[in-house]
Amino acid sequence: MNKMFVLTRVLLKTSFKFNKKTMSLGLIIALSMMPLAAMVWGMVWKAYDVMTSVGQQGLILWFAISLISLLTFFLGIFYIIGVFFYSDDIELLLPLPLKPWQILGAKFATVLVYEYVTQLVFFLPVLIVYGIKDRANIVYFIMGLVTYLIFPVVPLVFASLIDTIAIRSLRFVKNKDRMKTISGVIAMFLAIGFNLLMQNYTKAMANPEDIMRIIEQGNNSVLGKVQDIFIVNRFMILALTNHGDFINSMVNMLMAVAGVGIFLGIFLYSGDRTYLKTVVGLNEAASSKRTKEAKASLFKRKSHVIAFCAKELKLLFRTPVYFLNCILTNLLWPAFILIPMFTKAGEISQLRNALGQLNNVNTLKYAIAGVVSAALFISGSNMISSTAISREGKNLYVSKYLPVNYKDIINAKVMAGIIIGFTGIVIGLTAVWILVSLPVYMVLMALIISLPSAIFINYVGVLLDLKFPKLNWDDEQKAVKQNINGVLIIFISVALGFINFVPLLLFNLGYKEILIGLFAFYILLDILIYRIAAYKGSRWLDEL
Amino acid sequence: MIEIINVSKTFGGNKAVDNISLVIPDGEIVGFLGPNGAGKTTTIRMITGILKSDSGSIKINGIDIEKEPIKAKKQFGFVPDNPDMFLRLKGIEYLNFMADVYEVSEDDRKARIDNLAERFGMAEALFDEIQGYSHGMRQKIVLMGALIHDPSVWILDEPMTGLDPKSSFTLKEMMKEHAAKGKTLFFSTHVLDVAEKICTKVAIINKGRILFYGSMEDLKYHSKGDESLEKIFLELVENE
Repeated sequence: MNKMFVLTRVLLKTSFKFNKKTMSLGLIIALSMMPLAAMVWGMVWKAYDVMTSVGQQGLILWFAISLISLLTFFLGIFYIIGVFFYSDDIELLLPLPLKPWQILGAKFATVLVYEYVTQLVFFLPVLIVYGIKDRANIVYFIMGLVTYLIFPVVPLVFASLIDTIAIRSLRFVKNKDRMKTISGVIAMFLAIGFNLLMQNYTKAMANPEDIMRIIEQGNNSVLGKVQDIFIVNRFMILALTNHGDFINSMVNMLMAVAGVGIFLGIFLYSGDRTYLKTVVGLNEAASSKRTKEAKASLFKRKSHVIAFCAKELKLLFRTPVYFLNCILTNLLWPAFILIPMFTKAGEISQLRNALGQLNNVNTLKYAIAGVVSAALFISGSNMISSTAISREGKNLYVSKYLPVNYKDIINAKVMAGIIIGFTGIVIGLTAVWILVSLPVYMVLMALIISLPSAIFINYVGVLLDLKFPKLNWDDEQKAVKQNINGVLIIFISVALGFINFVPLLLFNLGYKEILIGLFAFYILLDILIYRIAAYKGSRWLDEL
Repeated sequence: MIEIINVSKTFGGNKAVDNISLVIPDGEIVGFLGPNGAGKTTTIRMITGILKSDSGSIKINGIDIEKEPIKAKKQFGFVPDNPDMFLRLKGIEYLNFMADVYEVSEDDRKARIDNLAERFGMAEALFDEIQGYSHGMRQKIVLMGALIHDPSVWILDEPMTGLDPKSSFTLKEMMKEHAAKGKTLFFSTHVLDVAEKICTKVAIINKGRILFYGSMEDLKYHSKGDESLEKIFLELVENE
């Protein structure tokens, strides 16, 4: 047991580093999560009033716990596959004199800690609001704390079960890179699905009768099934709702704790017998199918910029972490935004009507500024440029001994960002064009005006990352996901996005003026920043 | 030819390289020896332009690495001490990337890749991603990349590490051939046997200073008679 705790501490220490940079990143993430937590708070507050009128306020806890269990389970599948089976530390841990259950237990604990952090946003507001509204006593809050700590355990045990079965049964899964990518893609689609589900619920929450309907329906719906699977949840909910009756509450909580203990015991016991077999050999990279003949195009001589850009794109596509965070999010964003819209026939016609207004010159000028702002946001939020230097990590020195101008390397990195970002813009516009039959000339116009701004924000990203690169990482994840430049560039692109609208608000401009104005503005900025990148940027890279 | 003249490098008050001067002439195989942390890799990093020296100058074939970096970098092929790079590229893609960087024509690169793959037994593996390679194979692919433009100056940092006996033999043969053509070869190593067998000259560095630079015969002459290089080396470094 002791060894497990020691290992847990080490694993947590390596994943949560506390320094100025991570703390400020954490603060930004916390701040951006506040509105979401506030939304949950507000929803529960309203729902409580509605449900007390029929004496069913306990259903709120049931509803929340079931929904969050489901979320924990889905997200857990992807957390766990990474932490249990694909993390780089496994190779270091296997030779140590640790029992498999100790490794598993420690890894499980780190996933649990991540879960506690997520619950701050989704579950903590529910517990507090319910407590306040129910005028709950201290027993409730103690039971609430225990519930907070134990209820993610069972969904996570189920998630690890599914992962183990998946890895052991599917041969193709054993290619580490491919599996990371596949699981990431599935997670992304699940996230879209969950987004849809949540949108339905949040809409319903606007209307008190609907709240009741949904919660009551819940008894027989998917959520009801969740209740059956995560059986111990029932005891926790009873312990919380019966806080007036101490003995009753206590007995139920003891049942819940015992239930969770049994699940955990089964998990560790079975894991102890299967984990090693599952994980040994998993870390060997599977070799690709042999192509005996190299394609002739491979040997074709390329310029420095093209060669570096091609290398950059290959690494972005082949490294699962980069593919999921930089490429896929960039190409799938239209799906995130557009799919929910098109699931309802009413909204599509609304959108068509709105876009029909584009013939109206007054609407058109706002749309032009909007397209430019969207282009900035799409190209900024894919993080390709803003982590371009950081992704080199400890291998940055390689570009120092190669006979290539630093300017060319910077331009190649910018180019890779533009190619992917612009592809995202094209996909988005094509989707809009197909779905709401926008005139072709407008689509083309939108493409042309987005290009200069996309170029600009990519240069800003690379320069930002040149000035503050994160080079000292041991896991690719840290180069992109824990990189503050990725967050900063989003803020910069949003700020620029607002600036695009300023002239419209200050002056009475026509759409032609704004079209030409924004286009010229970004072309000028492009020329300027290209020069800065060539002189200053090269120097910064030289000094790294 | 490599000329290192009065070069120093300090890291946070610590002199890693202390006013060293070395001239690596053409046609010689010069081994660079020294204990861990002696300043070997720092020196090599300054020669190749990865690090800037605090003072002094470094010229490769007469071209100053700080004043004309691109031109100077084209003169040499460099194998760093850690071959873990571009792991998600296939071997063949890496070689073509290096060929693009060094502006090698299509015909030349094809011929050289075939020849090098043949000599190092890498023809099969070229179509796999480098991350699936063993340490020795990674070493070989980096070596192949460094030689793809047929450079006149070879700078190799611990090139034998991880190589199997056959590849190690091949590399040593290639080094001898290269020097025999009157070209420059500078490599660092921990393995004294290798140095003893193939070097025509050795430079011994410790605590950032050159303790000895000369031919193997000179080294033996300076020491007491017929001692092994290992013994001479240990005495030199310990007497410091």
